[in-house]
Parts: sequence; structure tokens; C-alpha cells
Amino acid sequence: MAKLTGPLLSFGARGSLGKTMVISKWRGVPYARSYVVPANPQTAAQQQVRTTFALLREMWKLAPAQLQDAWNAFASGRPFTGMNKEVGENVRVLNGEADMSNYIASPGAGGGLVPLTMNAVTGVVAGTIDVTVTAPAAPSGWVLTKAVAIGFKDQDPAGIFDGTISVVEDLVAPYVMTLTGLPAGELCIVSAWLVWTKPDGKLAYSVSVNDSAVADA
Amino acid sequence: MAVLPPKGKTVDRRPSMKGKIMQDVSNGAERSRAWPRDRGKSLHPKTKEQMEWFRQAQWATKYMDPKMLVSFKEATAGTPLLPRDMATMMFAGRLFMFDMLDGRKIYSVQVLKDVSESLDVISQTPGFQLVRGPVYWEGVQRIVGGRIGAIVTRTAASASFASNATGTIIFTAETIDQGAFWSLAAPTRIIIPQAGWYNFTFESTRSGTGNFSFDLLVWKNGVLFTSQRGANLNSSAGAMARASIIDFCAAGDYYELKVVSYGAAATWSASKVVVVGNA
Repeated sequence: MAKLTGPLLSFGARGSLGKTMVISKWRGVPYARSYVVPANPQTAAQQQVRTTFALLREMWKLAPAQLQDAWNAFASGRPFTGMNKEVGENVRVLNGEADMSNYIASPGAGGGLVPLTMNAVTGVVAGTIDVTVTAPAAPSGWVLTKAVAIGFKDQDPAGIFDGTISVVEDLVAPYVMTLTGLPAGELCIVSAWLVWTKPDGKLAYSVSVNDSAVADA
Repeated sequence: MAVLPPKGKTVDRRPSMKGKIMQDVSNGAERSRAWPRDRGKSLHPKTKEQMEWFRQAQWATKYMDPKMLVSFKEATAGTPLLPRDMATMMFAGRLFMFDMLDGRKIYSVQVLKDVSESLDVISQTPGFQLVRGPVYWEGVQRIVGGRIGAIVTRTAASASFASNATGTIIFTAETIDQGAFWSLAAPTRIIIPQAGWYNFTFESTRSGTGNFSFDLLVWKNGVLFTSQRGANLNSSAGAMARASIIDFCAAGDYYELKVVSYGAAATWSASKVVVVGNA
């Protein structure tokens, strides 16, 4: 049932009336038309994008706060949300790929400096991966707040997301962290970034850098 | 408000109220909608390409060496520029210069191209070099000099020649000779040992008091090549004339210095040839 908050064809009319008429907007222009079954050719390419999109939406729901914070900082003050960009940018780099090695966990915001190195190796306890991050020297007045790392099972981006996203953060150098709860014996994508505090008190997020390792069996 | 018949090439357009309501067929279904607002043209493919380039440049900036990003921050502090602007300029080849901590300055190829094209305003002839002229810089034939050369002089007594007679200076010594330009076997000649560009300076001083004129003549391979007129205006010290030439020489070409005094016999001293070339 269409929800009508103003006269027909005004800004407030939007929706379908039964399955006979549709009132909506097209690129900002309100219109009314007869109801038709939407075209949905479902090409292979379209399906691939859709499944990648769905996987990323699922990942966003499972994403730890640290990951969402980075994307929300990126979207702050701009006409999109962090989730919009997380999905959009990752569809761009993952569509057509066979694995998740291109995944962007942090888009960088506020000019945060990227880690100098990041290394992920199999941990010593089942389901763990050890992550070591080295940070560059802080610019004058900046403070390195923490290093963050996430890990998840590597998989085909065109599918249903399998597993969970493990997260760990370290507030003090050296930034040696252990990701836990990963699928034992499985190849995992590890992504890490730095969070800085700038002289004005605002946070700056570095772009994430990726590595992969097999979780300890 | 008038209801207008459909115009133009649009198909399935119904009579509409121009500027207010449009009726047409969409997806096979009748549709009434507000008149579409005027829209600009779609972006040119080149514009789209540049936008995509810019987007990728912004992403690449985030992965740059932190030391360089810090340098960008310091360089742009207090300016309207953002650090990422520096990176974008760098990716575009438009960043003028990197001032390295060790004092080196690194310029982009684009800067080299820009400077080179601006110098083309002065000269576009390959091989020319820029020389500061009296008004502007000028392009002149290039002498990559200094590789070989000679200074040949006459240290013996002054040479004397009759009035209006052309005399050939006989050199007697050389202070530098890096290519066997001169020898006692042919003391009047500067003989080119290897082909290439050469710069010659011939000079000689006509002695004596009086008001007279004279010519300094440079001959090449037995033929007059160029001359330089000199004059003395009642100076007791005499007058010196000097002729400078730049010439492309073949191996074995030879040059001679000849003099002629008008109206009176003359003696010639301080005769000298300086030659330098890039053979």
C-alpha cells in the first residue's frame, strides 16, 4: 500500500497500490505508473555482484566495532554511510576475484599513516594467528593510539560469508597481537591498521594492509 | 494550461502539459509523471577517465611511505594545500621538486619537459647552446670545448711587412698543444688533428704611432675565411685586432693568420692563436 503524505505526484507519495499502480520517484522526479513486474534478467555478472554485495553486507553485520569505526570515520561529514562505502569499495576490488586478499578493512581517514610492515604467521594455539605490526614515527604532536588487526577465513567473495571476524588490538608498542577463534588449519586473511590521535584530538585511521596465514591446527 | 501534442522523436509520448506533467509509456505501462527537470549532458569519457584516475590516486596516497606523507604534512603546513594534494601532484608528474634531506633536489620528468619546452622559445636547433646576449638569451652553435686545444704564439722578433702587402705570421712557439696543431715543419699553420667543432681566436698587434688601419685575415686551407679590420688613432702603443671564429673542421684542415697594413709598412707583435675543440 502506498504511503501518501501529500497530494498525488507531490514529494510525499511513494509505493504501490495493490498490484495495479506504483507511485514513486525517478531520479528525484515523482511519478505514477501502472504496476509491472520488475525486470530482472539475472545475468551471471549481475548475480556475481549481488552475491559479493550480500557477502559484504553480511560481513558488515558481523564486523567488530573497530572496523566499523574506521569506515564511519571515513564517511563522517559526507553524503554516505560507513556501510555504504565498505560495501561499495570492496565490491569494486573483490568483484571477479577468487579470494578475499583484496579486502579493505580500513579505508583510511584523517590522514592516518600506514603501518611500515605487517606480518601474519600461524599461531601456537589452535585457531590462532600471530600478527606483528610496525608503526612509523609519529608526526609532530601525533600519538599512536593503537594497532588493530582482524582475521577471517579466506573464501570466494561471490558466496555466503563463512565464519566470523576475529579482532584484536594493541595499545602499546611493540604491536604483537594474536588473533583467536579462527578456523583451525584454514587459510585466513589478516588485515591490520593503525589508529592515531591528532593534535586536535581527532582520530586518524590508516588504510589497512593485508597478509594471509593458516590458523594453527 | 494548454495540453500540447507530443513533439520530437520521442515515441509513445502522450499529450502532455509542458513543464508540469508528462504522460508516456514506460516498460509497456502508461505513466504520468512530473515534467523532468533539465539535466546536463553525461560526462565525457575523458572526464570519467580522469575522475577514475583521481580516485585511484587518492587511494594510492594512503599507501605511500609514511616518511613521505609526513614530509607532505610539513610542506603543506600553513598553506591552502593538503598533503594529499602534494601526492596527487606527484602522481600527475606535476610536483616541482623533492628537496631531499641530503641536499639533493629531485625533479620530475614533467618538470624537465616543461622547462625544456619553455627553452624552446629561445632555440629549437639540436646542438645549440644558450648564451646570454645583450638583450635576451640566445641559441648559438654548441662547442663542447676543452677536450683538445692549443695556444700558439710568435715569440721571435716582430714580423715586418711592406705597406699594403699581405704577410703571413710565422709562429715560433706553443704553450699548449694537445693535438699536434702546430709544428716547426709548417710554422704558419694551425692544422686540425681531428674532425669536429673548433673555436679559434686569432690576434696580433700592429706597432707604431700614427693614424692607420689594417686587416687581420684568417685563411682556411689557403683561402680567405674571414677578416677583422683594425685601426690605430695616433696611439703610440699601436693597436691590436682579434678575430674569433667557430668552425666545423675536417682533419687536416689548416688555418693561417695573415695581416695587411694600409698606407705604411708595419711590424706585428704579440701574435697568437688560441684554439679549442671537441674533436
